[in-house]
Amino acid sequence: MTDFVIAPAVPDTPVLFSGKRGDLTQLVIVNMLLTAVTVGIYRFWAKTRLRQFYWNSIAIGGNALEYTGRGTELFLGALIAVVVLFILSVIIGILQYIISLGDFRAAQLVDLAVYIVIAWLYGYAVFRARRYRLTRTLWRGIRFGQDGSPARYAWRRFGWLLLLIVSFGVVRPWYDVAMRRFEISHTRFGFSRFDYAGEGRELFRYWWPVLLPMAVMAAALAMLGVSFFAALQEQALPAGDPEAMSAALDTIAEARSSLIAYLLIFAALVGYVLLSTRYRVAALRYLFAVTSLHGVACRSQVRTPRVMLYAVISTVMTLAVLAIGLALIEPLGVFGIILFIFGLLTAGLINQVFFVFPLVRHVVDSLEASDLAALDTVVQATRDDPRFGEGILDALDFDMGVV
Amino acid sequence: MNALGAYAGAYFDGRTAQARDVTVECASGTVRILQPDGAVLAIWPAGEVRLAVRHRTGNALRLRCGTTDEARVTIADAAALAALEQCCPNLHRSADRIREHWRPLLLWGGGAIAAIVFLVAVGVPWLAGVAAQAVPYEVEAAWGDEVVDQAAGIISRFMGGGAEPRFCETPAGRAVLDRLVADLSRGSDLAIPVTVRVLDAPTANAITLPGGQILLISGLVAEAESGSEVAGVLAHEIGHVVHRHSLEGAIKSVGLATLLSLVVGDVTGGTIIIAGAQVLLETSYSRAAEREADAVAVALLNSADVSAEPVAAFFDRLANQDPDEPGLVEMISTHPPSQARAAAIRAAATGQGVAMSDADWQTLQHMCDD
Repeated sequence: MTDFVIAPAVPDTPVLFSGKRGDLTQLVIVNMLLTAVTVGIYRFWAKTRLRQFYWNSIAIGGNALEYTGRGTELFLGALIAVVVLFILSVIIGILQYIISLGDFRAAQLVDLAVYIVIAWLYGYAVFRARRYRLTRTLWRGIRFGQDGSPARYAWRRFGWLLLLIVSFGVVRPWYDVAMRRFEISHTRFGFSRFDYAGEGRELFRYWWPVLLPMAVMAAALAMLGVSFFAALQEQALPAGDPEAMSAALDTIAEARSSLIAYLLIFAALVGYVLLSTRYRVAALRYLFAVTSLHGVACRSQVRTPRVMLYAVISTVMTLAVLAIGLALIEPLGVFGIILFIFGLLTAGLINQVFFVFPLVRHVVDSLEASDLAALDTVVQATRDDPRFGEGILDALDFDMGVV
Repeated sequence: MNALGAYAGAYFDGRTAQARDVTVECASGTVRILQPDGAVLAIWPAGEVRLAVRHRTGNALRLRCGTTDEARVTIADAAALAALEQCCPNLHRSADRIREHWRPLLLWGGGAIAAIVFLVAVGVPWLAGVAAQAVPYEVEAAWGDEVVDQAAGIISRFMGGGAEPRFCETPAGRAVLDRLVADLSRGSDLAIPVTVRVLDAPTANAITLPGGQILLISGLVAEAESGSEVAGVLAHEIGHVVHRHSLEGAIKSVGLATLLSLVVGDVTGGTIIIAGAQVLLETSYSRAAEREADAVAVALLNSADVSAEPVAAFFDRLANQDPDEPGLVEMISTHPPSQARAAAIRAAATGQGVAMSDADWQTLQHMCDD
């Protein structure tokens, strides 16, 4: 299979990852405990230390990246965002509440409007967070930068999301390329801008296979939906009536005989996970292939099987921990519940140590850069970076905040 | 200070991305960075030299000068660390020390925290009050109707009654209550019709739900010494209905829950979700709300020419209640008493009569028998 080729074929400069899993585990455990003890306040310093670890572990041509961000900046950014967002969300929340007392459907409309606004705001927040991270990244003493307006990015992203929905996901590669193009072509190293040469159709050959399991799942769900609906309607009959009971049982048996539908859904789900991971890995390789700075580019050899391996291992471990935790609630009562919550936090640790870490290490180690000589001429840019970081994204961010 | 050896390294001047091979030496309070031909590229005061990144064994040493300059020196030989530690007193000082930027922290951080405290203590309650008054009465009444049965179940369990709420309804008792409510509300124009029901549970309390729904707990009727006491408590609850305190409390909880989830940042996905009736239950009214309700209570009692002395005495009993003895403790937790309240009620009271006849009081007391 021909993969993405970068134009200049040149001697390869190694890009190496030097972080140790033991160091990371120690760091994550300390972060976890301190964050729990401070009811989440420490998370800003925890995130900072985590990024410092990862950034410092990546060396391009023998020179490591440096993260100059500070926990204090994230903390202040979040505080400000809290005050601003709170005023907005309380007003909206009270409005929703009052409307829901009167007209339930109107309240759902308000709900929908809020989700739409949040979807737009998320794009805005993601771009601003990216800008913060880039301006806090140093390589050979030169700062990165991110130009471009977060609002324009948010609108573009929002428009593409609509297209994505309307097209049932077919335009995904064009969406990815459009977003990366905006990000990368406005990304700076010193005064120099990166170049992005990507086209959506080149990624499409990795994307169209994903549409197949998606279509199968949709069809199977439709099949199930119809028979479930019928079964539900039958079950509305009083339990005491024997004739109605047997009729209900018949419909349920019919629904269960859509066992085929269940199997199809399961197979399609597995297929979707595998194929979409393959797409995401290919998209990453493509990103490196079409990004360059003064003709300097990277080539990535990251492959899907490795990524899947890490994903499977960490998922299995997480499930095992959660299962043990659940099993312990029964005999240990309240103590068991505390352990279970602990188990949930451990899931974060497992994710970081057994998925994110090996993944980043693999991605970085599989990178090779071309001759870096052209970068010697890059000049430091004047300070234009945001003072505080990522406030809105912290408020909107619902995941465990990977990096 | 003696020179502590020279170490090979790479120098980045922070102006261009070019790397330069240099020798780094430490002498007489400065760190000097020299080109191979001996020319001095930079002189850093030893006191300003720090590690740019936390040093991990196996990695190169990375030095910076001060906290804002972007020039860097990397030294591959880890043995240099010992020498540098002798030479540079501030080598391990992290850039994120408070001393470096206490001003913006104080200003922005203090301001933000002050804003949050203000919002919690003043902003949300005020907003809730305004919002509660803005809700149309029909909307509140409709919602109260929907919620009262659910709430009654939770309240019943909370108050020691059964899981299934049991209302005490005898035709005679109903008539007494209706007469009482009519007498009390004759003096005021209630925009929301008041519905009073007696919930069978051993605790002494009375709960006002939105939409004019008042639940008298039968324990209160048992603890009370006269019909006028119950009338006084009922008038107080009608005061809560008039001022819509219950709705205000619910809205306030929504606002506080939103603020909390923003501040904590949902790290483990666990934010307190306060569901429906429990909000109404656990909201203990502010002193201002209690005073408002008391004022309405006295006004209603006066216009019905009922003496407020029994209910004032009731509040006295609450104030002197032994906290270890059950009985009125539950009442106290949601209706914090004080001498001032009883005194204020006595001062404003003009009524002379009784709320109901002895026969009616008997009927009320036996309402829950069967």
